[in-house]
Amino acid sequence: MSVSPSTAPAHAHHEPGFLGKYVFSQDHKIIGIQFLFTSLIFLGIGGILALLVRIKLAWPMAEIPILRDYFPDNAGVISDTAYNMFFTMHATIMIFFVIIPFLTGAFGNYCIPLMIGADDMAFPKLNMLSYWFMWPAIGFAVAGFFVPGGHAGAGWTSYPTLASGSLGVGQGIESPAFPGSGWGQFCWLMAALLVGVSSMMGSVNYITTIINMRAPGMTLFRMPMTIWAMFITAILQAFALPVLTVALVFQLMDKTMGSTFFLPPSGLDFGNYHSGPGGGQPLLWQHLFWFYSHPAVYIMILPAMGIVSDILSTFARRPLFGYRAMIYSIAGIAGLGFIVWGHHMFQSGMDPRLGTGFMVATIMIALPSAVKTFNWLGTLFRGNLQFTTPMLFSLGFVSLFIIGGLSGIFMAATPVDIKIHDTYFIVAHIHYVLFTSSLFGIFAGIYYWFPKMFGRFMSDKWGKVHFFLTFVLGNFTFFPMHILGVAEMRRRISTPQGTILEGGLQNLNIFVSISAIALGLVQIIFLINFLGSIFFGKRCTERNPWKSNTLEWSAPTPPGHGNFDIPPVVYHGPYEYGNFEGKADDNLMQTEKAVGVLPSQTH
Amino acid sequence: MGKFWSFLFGITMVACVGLFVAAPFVGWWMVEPHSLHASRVDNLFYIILVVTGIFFILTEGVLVALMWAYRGTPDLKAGDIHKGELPGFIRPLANVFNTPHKIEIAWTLVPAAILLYLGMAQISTWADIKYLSRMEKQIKDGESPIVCDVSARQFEWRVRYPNSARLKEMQTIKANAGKRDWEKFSPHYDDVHVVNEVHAVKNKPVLVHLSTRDVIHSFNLPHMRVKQDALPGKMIPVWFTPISSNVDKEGKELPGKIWELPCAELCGWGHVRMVGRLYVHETMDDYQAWLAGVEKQQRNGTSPPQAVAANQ
Ligand code: HEM
Ligand SMILES: [Cu+2]
Ligand SMILES: [Cu+2]
Repeated sequence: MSVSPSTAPAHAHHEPGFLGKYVFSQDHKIIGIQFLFTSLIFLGIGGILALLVRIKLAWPMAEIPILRDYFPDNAGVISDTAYNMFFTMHATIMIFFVIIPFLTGAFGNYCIPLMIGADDMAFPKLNMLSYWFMWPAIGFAVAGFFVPGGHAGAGWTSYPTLASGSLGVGQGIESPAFPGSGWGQFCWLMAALLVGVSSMMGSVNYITTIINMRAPGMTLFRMPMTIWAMFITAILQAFALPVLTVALVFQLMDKTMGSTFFLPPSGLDFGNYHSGPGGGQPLLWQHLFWFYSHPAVYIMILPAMGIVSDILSTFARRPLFGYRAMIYSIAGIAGLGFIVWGHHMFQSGMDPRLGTGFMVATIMIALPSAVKTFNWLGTLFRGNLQFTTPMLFSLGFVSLFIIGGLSGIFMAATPVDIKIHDTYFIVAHIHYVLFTSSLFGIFAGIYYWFPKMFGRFMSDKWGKVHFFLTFVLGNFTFFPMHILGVAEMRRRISTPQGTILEGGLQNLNIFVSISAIALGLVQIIFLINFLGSIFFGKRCTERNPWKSNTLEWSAPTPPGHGNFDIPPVVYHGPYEYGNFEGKADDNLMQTEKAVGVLPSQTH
Repeated sequence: MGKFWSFLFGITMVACVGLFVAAPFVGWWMVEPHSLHASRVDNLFYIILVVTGIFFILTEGVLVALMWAYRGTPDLKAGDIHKGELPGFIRPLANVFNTPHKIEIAWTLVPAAILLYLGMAQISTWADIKYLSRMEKQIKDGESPIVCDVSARQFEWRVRYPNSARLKEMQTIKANAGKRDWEKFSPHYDDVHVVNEVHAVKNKPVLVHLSTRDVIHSFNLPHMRVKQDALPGKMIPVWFTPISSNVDKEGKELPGKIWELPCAELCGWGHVRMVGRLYVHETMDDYQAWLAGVEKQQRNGTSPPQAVAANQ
């Protein structure tokens, strides 16, 4: 739409056009919503890949009619090569394009300025750039499927020398993961590198904004848990990401320029081909990778923990139990998180004495997680629980995070890890912490902030149906994996064999796959509810529909450019729910002056 | 609705515990332990299972009880304190929330102590399994372990043994201090080569020199509770002592006693098919008989059938 100068209103240059407003927007809310949609799309893609993985595991020899066009050589049977590609890209997409952008990208962007009472991020342009750096990353991640040889197939961990180049200088970028997979691996590396750039810009922005732009009266210890979690997550990201970036660049150089960071002095032999001597060590990658990726698993859970803490307090109508203890636990998890990376490497050939040290640190990291769990339970005590959809997902988070945290202890124990390392027990652990915890936190957040974002409610009835089915099918899908792991089903194999085929365990695999497919289909309910509610949902005209306390609920719904019509001033912490003299409501917003003793001080 | 949701959570958690309790009885459980350290590993697993199980039941129990007791009721005016109707047995547990400071200290220190105990309990077993310095303890005086060299590649295990003559020599080497050949086991022209087969003898330590010539693989013997990655450019020692045998006099596996040697680390498109076998002989004589058989085949130029198959 072009506007001729003569008809343009006089103030037109203040209002950004459609492109400036919704596409190249520098408004943190729009950027947050852009991240939200992008992550949702990738949730779908990652989910489809997961279902292909599960189909192969349950029915390894099935000829799938719609795949016949894609795998003509195999009559529609998913080949081992394709299988490796699917699980590699499933994990990569879910981690780098779904969970991290959802939590830090979507909620971080949307919530931080609103919840601390700022009108936008400290660096709006950088913020926009952070979103737009996702697109080249997405380009590489998607392009990988179409390059010769197919996408990367060395696992989301991409261990050399399976992932890295094996040929000498100038001989191409082949990877030994499967024939022809070099270009896929190249795309994988570029995608991960660019996502990192995007995250780095985000985290610099979040740290600066939280430190510098809080509303008057918003002291650090009056910040909601969501903000504390985002703050610590951003710090984690800022310190850990450079290490991953270095590792990715090393592998890229090994691949394209003939450097040998991950090639041992003895070289490698593939059949009759000898790579020539190198000057590095394959184990170096694992140290660098996990030095980032262990903190990264906390990047993927801490914001969800923050969101859930806020939602639990809101719908329990009770002050959050142990607010400071919660903050210290998050800080403890983040701090300890930097000295436990070796727990992924107990069996890797790293000196076993190092393993002992990493084990003790890892087991102790369960402590702050336990403290947080107790505090969530304490928050419910004497509450007046409102079972809304966001509350249900938060309660589901608490109940299933316990499972994921406890299974972590098994693997942290080095001798027990000998048994369960690289089995489905690990897969169960991952999915309890990432699917039924992080993703539950994300769902809770979407249902909770949706009215603020779009000025309409999502259907609570269908939300509950979605929760019920996701909760039940999630457990059906992931809990039996513990048993499969104990029974020695290796992870990353395309066809269950050996002991798994005896004693009917394959039936468990089929059960898991059927549940997984159902779980995938159930998400369509969510999708329809989400998209439908944007246009047809019940209108939300109130500023504070949940009667919550934090600042975003004092802004107009949806907040306009610059967020607040009344500049907020903060008088107390965010968790004052209870009985207030002379007040009909049981909540006291952070912008309301307190009369008498605050509920959080009486308990 | 509150009742419904607490019921759903409760049922789910009961089902989770139920599956773990029932699984061993229907045979959906770990393979039998057959090495010296295997049952120590299993015991640690069970200790953690019990501790985490108790913790699980406690926390989920309290969660479900709280959801039930404090479900919102329409007649509750905003700001009223919910009376709750906690079931009797859970009341003392939930009342801890009434004394925030004491309880916070307690629920930090008690789990800390339990976790620290769990951590410490692992160390000696871990050391015995993986610290090279502890390996010698398993080896009795005047004896040397069964030595082999496992070289992994996409997608098979190539195994090299000393031949009978050299084996005899090695048996006495421990006595000749300082000349413990089994610590290095460098290649010899008359070594015995097999593919995807590791042979051992009951109650005799095995020392594997593990290496790989292409990518990372993981040497995994589920029945022995052994798992160790092979790293390109490195030789990693692995040892274990089988305490039961799985083959008869002829070296054939007994019914139901197939002990696999899968590769546990993703190593490429054939990873799933990279599976060898472990053969534990009843006596040293059986082992030597097997060794002599392979030696003879090798000398006559008739490779063992497995090697031929693997090369195809
Ligand atoms: C109580 C806290 C936790 C403990 C003690 C713990 C412990 C461990 C250990 C020891 C491993 C390595 C297992 C192995 O490969 O043998 C592992 C793997 C993993 N953990 Fe955790 N964990 C905890 C919480 C979390 C959380 C909160 C997340 C994420 C949100 C997480 C995500 C993962 C992932 C993704 C892996 C698998 C990585 C891979 O090999 O692909 N963990 N955990
Ligand atoms: Cu970790
Ligand atoms: Cu393998």
